[in-house]
Amino acid sequence: MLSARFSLLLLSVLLFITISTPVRAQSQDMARLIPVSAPTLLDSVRSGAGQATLVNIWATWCRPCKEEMPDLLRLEREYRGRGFRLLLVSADFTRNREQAEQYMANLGVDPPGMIKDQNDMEFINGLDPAWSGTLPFSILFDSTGTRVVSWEGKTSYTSFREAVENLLDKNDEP
Amino acid sequence: MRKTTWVALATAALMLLLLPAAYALELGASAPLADKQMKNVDGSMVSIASSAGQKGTLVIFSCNHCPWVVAWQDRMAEIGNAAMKQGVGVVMVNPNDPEAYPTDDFEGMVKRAKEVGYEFPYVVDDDSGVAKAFGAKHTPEAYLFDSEGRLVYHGTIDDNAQNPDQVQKRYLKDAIDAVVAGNPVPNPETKALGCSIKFRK
Repeated sequence: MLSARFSLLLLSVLLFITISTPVRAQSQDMARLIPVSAPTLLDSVRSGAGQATLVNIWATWCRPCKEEMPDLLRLEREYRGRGFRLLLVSADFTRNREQAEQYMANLGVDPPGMIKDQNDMEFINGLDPAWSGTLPFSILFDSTGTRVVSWEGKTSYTSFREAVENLLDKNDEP
Repeated sequence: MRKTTWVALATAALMLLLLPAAYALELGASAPLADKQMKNVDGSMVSIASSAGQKGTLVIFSCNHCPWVVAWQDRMAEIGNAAMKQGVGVVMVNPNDPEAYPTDDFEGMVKRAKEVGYEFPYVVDDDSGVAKAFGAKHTPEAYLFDSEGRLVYHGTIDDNAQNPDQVQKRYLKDAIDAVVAGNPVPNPETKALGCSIKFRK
């Protein structure tokens, strides 16, 4: 009898440990990047009702992209209350999607944003014909989804902030 | 001199400083700094002019570290090696500062050229001046000049860096074939993503 009870207790403990141990598969733990093309990305900009929306194209292999990322996240924290939206779009190869998702997870960005899923040239010209394709690339859109300004290459926090402030101040004018 | 004249001069100087950032070599232009001697992976000194072919000249700005270069390098080797047999001279130019990415140094170039099988020169743009003169912005970035030395194609390798077996438009190969045949290039200016050139200071 004691032996049966002990066995049952042991089984219960083992079952409890199995259930409560986190599953290690990344795909079950991490939020997924949403595949986008230039048209679907622009739709997100227009439908998102942001007073100012900044789209940033980055990649895990792009060092300048990662260097400016903390500034972009800071910008989002500081201005989200005024209707500012930040849309992050990874340009990593789709086969490296998990790497990009892990990078976003490490930064605490949730949801992690989007990933380019379109031919390069169509994506580049669809977003901004003046863009050469160099990363990082950022575009600031107003509340109607119209492009206000874009930046090619690593950009300072001050430049981003000034443009966002100007746009939000303009929106606030009576 | 009057204050307004100083202001005008200062503004003009500032614009000249900013000019390289906005400059892009236009179709029809000839290769800038074509006589600049650059060190090849075999130790010889090579210029764009000395690399020119009878049918044309292909200049590709490239490096070792960039994932877009790595994705395309086998295709660049195949296209470049074939171009030379077609009478188009080829030179691959690395403008990157190895302080930014140590694998972009000369030893890295020697190793990469051998691994991938580049049969054309792979040279060091030792002050990034050639890349700046071209207005090149990232790697890889290709410039094809015709037999008269006029730019007839500027852009990328093909339309699919990730998947070689899903390429639909072989932009650079088609441009080379057109130049060799004396025909207009079908897509003279193309774009792709790439790594920004790490200009030397």
